[in-house]
Amino acid sequence: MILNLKNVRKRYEGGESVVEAVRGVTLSLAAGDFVALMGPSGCGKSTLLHLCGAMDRPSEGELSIEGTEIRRLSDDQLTALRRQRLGFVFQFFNLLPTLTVRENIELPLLLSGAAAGESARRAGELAERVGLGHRQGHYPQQLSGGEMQRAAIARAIIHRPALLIADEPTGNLDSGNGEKVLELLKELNRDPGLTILMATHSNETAAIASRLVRMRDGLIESEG
Amino acid sequence: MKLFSKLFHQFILRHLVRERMRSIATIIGIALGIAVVLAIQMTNASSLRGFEKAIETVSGRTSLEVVGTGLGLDEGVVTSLGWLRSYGQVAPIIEGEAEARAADGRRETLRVLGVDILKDRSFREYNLLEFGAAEPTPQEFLELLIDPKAVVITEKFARRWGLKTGDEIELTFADRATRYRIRGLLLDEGPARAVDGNFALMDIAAAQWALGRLGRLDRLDVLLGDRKSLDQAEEEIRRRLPPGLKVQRPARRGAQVEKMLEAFHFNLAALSYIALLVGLFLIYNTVSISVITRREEIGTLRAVGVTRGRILGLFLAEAAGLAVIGCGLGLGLARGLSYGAVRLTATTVQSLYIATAATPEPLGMRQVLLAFGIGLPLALLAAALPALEAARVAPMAAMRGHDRLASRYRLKPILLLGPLVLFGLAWWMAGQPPVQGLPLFAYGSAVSIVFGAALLAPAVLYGLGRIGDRVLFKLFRVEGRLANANLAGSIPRLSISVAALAVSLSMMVAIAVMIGSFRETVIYWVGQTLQADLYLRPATRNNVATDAPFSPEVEQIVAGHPEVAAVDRFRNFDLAYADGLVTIGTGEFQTLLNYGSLQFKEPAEPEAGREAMRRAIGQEAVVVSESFALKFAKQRGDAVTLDTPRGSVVFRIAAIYYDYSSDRGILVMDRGTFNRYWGEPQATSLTVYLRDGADPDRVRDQLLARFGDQYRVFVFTNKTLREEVLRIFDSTFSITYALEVIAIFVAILGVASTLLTLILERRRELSILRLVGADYRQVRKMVLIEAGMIGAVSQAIGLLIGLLLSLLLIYVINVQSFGWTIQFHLPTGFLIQSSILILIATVLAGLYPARAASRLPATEQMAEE
Amino acid sequence: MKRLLAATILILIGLSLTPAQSDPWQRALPPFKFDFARDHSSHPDYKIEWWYYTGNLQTADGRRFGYQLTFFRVGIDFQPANPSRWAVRDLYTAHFAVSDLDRDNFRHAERMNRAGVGWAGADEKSYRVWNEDWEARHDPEGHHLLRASDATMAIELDLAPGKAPVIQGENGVSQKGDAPGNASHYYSLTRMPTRGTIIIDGQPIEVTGESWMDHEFGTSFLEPGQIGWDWLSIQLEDGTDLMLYQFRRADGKTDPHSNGMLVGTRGETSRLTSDQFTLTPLEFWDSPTSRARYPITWKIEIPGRGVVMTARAAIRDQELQTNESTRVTYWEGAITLEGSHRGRGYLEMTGYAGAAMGAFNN
Repeated sequence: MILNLKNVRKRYEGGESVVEAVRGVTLSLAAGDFVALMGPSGCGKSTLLHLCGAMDRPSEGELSIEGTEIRRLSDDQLTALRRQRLGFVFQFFNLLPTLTVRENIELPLLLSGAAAGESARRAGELAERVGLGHRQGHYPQQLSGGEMQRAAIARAIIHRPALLIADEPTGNLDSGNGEKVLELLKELNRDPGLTILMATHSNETAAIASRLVRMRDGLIESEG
Repeated sequence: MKLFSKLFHQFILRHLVRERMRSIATIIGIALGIAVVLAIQMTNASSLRGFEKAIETVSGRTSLEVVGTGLGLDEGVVTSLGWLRSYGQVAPIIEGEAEARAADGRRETLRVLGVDILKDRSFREYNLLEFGAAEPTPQEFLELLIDPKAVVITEKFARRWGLKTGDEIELTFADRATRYRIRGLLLDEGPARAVDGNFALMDIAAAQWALGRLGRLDRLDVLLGDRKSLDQAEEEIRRRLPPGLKVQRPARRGAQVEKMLEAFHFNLAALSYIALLVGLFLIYNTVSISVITRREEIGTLRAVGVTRGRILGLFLAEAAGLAVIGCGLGLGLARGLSYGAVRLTATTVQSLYIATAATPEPLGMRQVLLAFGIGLPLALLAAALPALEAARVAPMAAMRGHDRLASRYRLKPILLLGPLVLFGLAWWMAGQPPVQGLPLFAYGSAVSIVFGAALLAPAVLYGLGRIGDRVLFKLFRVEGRLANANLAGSIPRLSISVAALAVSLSMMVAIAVMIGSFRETVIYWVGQTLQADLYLRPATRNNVATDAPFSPEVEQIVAGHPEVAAVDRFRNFDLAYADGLVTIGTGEFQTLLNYGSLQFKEPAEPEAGREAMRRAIGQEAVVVSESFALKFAKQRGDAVTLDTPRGSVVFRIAAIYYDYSSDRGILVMDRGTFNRYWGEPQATSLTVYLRDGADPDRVRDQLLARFGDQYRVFVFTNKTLREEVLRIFDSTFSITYALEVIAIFVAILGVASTLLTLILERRRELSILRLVGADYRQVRKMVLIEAGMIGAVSQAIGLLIGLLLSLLLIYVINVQSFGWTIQFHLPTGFLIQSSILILIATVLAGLYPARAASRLPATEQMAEE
Repeated sequence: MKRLLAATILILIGLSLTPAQSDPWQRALPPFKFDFARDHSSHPDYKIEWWYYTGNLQTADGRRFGYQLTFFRVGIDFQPANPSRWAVRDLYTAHFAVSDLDRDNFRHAERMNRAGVGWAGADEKSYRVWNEDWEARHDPEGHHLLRASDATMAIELDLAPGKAPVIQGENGVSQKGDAPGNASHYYSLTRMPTRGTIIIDGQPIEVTGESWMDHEFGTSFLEPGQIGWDWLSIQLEDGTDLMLYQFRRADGKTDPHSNGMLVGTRGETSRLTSDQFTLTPLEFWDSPTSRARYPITWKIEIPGRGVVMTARAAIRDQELQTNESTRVTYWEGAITLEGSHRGRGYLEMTGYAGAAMGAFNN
């Protein structure tokens, strides 16, 4: 199993009120799964994504990534886990504006201490792969939205993560660019068989996934 | 108005509270800047006010005074001035300084006034503790003073020293230590108020004897009857006085001393403004950051209908608020700083100029007005640019992310024009002559260079961003790359901080180079000039306020020592010359030629200089110091007209020599020449040449043993005098360094505050970094690298500009204000050390922002969306 | 015998200022032979010395004036250790007063100086004594030239010697007490024809008249138990001059040292002892400033000579207050005499304003 959740709960304590965003979710993703996570705003979808992305620890329940139970990991270990095994794609692309496309893409590898030559070469390959071979030296603000999102995807997978977490990857794109991004994700799911957990509002987007999980009020409503 | 104050409260105040670190840093910056300016102003005022107040309180009701030329009045001449009484009352005065010494070694300088109390009562008020409210009659007063060892001191001083009437006190006049009997205590009125109670009253006969000035008076005070107007009387008296005597108003002496200290004070004040300038950079910085980071909010305000004028007002009000708090705090700080500054400048002022009271002027309305009068308008000026920018923000900006991605800086070549114009202006101004003896243009030039450098900061940062990646990536791997990218992305914001830091660093570099060069020059000069084996001076210093000649007995002891080969008896005193004072010195030219050596500027050839000096012996000729020649634009061979007791006399300049002991201008003449006009001089310093093989230290000890307790003489060997010269030199510049350190501290504060702002502004990027796997160590490292880079860039600009400024200081400002030739010398060691220190300091300044950055949670990004 | 005011003033100065040391001053010891004009000049070996001029003058049209000009010298430090010219060896005081008798106006001024650079002094060789621009000196003919001025008054007078000097006491010594040396050398010029100018408020007025001069020098003058005295110098119209004085003692009795002298027209003298005359106060004046009560009219009786006269102050207020120097307050002024003989003169009264005699009594 790449990802395994068993009865996961997440509570946020803000002064007097306690909000339980996730109220006992059990879910598992096998290698090569492409799961779409849907649900209305406030259903706990984002919180679940945080937990799966090892940005946060569950309040209760078990959550393991590639068999590693994250509740027992320190902040540093979580950071290392993210750096090595996880990739992220967001609605607002979230490239660093001060770095070029290639520099953005190779960042995770460099942060993990990879050799400069190796990371640059691999970043180049990936840029080609996502169709940005000719724009490697450009800065994010010189790119279109779709290009930026493709660069972000390249960055998310450069270190060959076990799991890609995508949060509304097409939410800020026009339909043409959106489709291209989805195409890319689908392709990556096929080769090299990347496991993807993608949150989305849109049924169309969700349609490309192999599995669909619906959430409501912190619980999984349906799975299929 | 109500809306405005509401907006100010909600929009500005709350923001300042939220960004409290930055607000505090800004306020501290302003406070320090203002405090330094005030402290220096108060310190300058204290040395001058101390002197002027002493003149004022001591001169009492005196309307006019008759003075001599330099060495006071010959009593013989006074006898012929009986006609003066037809203008009013006339009182003879002799004045000087004595050093009081307590059993525990405590020493303080007392201002001693010798009066004929029978004549003096109409001029000055003396209220004695013993007499209560009733003033003693002149005769009763005379009873107290008539003994040659009687002295009346102030109650204030007595209280401080635990003395009472009837006690003895040891006073040293020049080289003579004598025990005096305290015959009365003056209440804190009249002259007793002078110099903070360090005042002693003596009978004129006793004072004349004590000061070793028999036959001489300092002046005749004249209290006019109401028959004539002051101007008319002054004019009539001027016409009737014999040559060698002058009539003047008492304030004239203060004006002369003010003139003398002017250059020193002006330069100190100019320095003090650096800290303020840096403080103002901080205001500019803070307001612009608050404008830049809050474009959206400004846009929202504009969208809901707040006018441009109001937006402008809001941001100006922010600056004003910060400035007011800063100025207020600065006032409080100034008092403390001024004590430090007085201590730091006291040695200089005392050893080079005058003895002064050791307390700064108290904080008064004047300082409050000065603080707010300078601080507030300048702060508003500094904030005007960013505030105008805020007013131009369009309502559109309210839309989120509107211009977020447009933040990457592009260098517009047009921006290089500003620095070029300023540097050109600086070049032109450096070539202009001084204005009324003050290097105003030169300071204008310095300011142009500084602003030019400040405007250059964005370009330098831009250039650095282009080449920095390679270097930093090599040095620091990915964190280096990120840091460089961050800096390159924040050029508009950073360049202000970098400019501020670079400006203060350049000043430090400039001053360090100037002082280093000066010091080397002085060391060389001392080595060339100080050839004698021993130097003697009386324990109390000869200066403007007191004449301190040697006792004949001391001179006999010295001359009679078997190992002494020759003694040059040197006499110097101050003479009014062209609005100010110059120093007249006299010694034996022949002795100097035989044993000593002067460094001649004109004629430059040493043998020619000596020949010129030899030919000056017995002639109406003087050898003048370089500062005299420069100050009064005199060349070799020019004529100088001096007031002598025998009227105006024209002297020819035989040679010009290098001198770094005084910026006042020195004219030296041979003893024979001097004798013709001023009479046989009493020596104020002795230069002693020993026979071959004599041990200076041993001779020194033997002389001191002969002097015993009765004579207090400072005997320097050649070696100790060199040390003493450098000690005075170094203490002169300690204030300079102190001011600089404060300015740099303020600038580093600015760096920290900017970094912190950048961190907060970059939360989003930082959380992306955390998400893609950067751990907090990497984030911290990145921020520290950024801080270090800021320091390095600033120091680099500072070094470059500093070297430019040092050239200006050495070759223009210094020459114009003090008249000294300084050989350029690069204090490499100091510059390297200080560069490393600055780097460390900026990295340390990055610690807090780095910690703040590394603590941002990785989820920040998602939670925000 | 003496003008005691001078003694008081000088003793007051001397007492407080003289350093405590063995007394180097010369004492007045017999015999002493006066040598004129030398002895008009200063005698710096003696501690105390004064020159005292008073006179009654009038203009051609009869406007009357009185004047007083006194120079005092008191030795402070016989040989000052301090070589400065300002060291105080002697202290010089001077009093100057003009009585504008017909206008009932009295003005006075004082001066006190050290010699310094010659601002005050008394020459030894020739007769000249001065205090700033006040001066008394001999001209080549032996006339006394007096000059003094203040803000509102001035005199410039030429005094002929008149009668020969009257030497007081015996053997040239005027004994003051029982101890030898407690004495002085003292002479008077009792009738000096005077002419010159008085300037009042800038207005010069030509005057003539007669002056009286005393000059005394010595070292020790102490006489305990006396609280004051009354002293009269009188120039009678018949050409006779008369001096009378009495001590007033603390016990209210008249001191036996009270004395008098008559000088005939040719300068012949005869002494009057205290039992040969009486002085009786008739009328008093209260000084509004000092609150002293001065007898300003006296009945003078010399039974053996058929003299019964009334001496009346020409104007009431002729009181001097010397606030700047010794703070001695006394009355010294012009008088007129009527009765058996007529004449003019000067009256000096001290010890009426409390403080003055304090020092003298201890």
